[in-house]
Amino acid sequence: MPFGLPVTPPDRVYTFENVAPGPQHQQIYYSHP
Amino acid sequence: MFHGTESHLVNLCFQYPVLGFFNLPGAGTAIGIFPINDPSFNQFVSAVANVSVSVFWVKDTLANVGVFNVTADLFQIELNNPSRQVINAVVLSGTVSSLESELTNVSYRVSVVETLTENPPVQPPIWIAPGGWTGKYNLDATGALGPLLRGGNPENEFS
Repeated sequence: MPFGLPVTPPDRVYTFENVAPGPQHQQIYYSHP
Repeated sequence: MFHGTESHLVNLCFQYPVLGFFNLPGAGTAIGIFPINDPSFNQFVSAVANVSVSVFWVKDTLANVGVFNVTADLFQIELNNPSRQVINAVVLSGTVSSLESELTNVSYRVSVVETLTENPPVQPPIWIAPGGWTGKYNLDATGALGPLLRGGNPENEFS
């Protein structure tokens, strides 16, 4: 849709969100051949 | 969510109706789902979603973790309450991929835009309740959630 065109305001807007566990230090290990 | 693989890249598709916590006046919170009057009235305008990988475990130098094909769309779904109630609701879909890694958590947001009218009136949320809806839903013989009614991308009203 081009910019600048009128948009009818919606009657209802809502958001569902799930916030997973925050930053964690990851254990990273490598397996070398 | 849990997805773990070794040496083969494996995609795992997920598809869930979005539930929410609702404040009940004077009665705490309850988990429920919004039925949407659509397409008979077109209450559903659009929905946008994002999903991000939050926690994963790298298992090798060639590890790969990803999330893609994220959409929020309107589906017809059948709740597993005693009356097998059929509603239209917003469903979050996407794909996670894993190679030599374990993906244990994703975060998501789904925003829904609606138009409302007096007739038909807005339907209240359906709560998870003892003897009522358990929070689950019925799949058809193919394991599918229900027919897709409308995509989440807004249609161009001005063309």
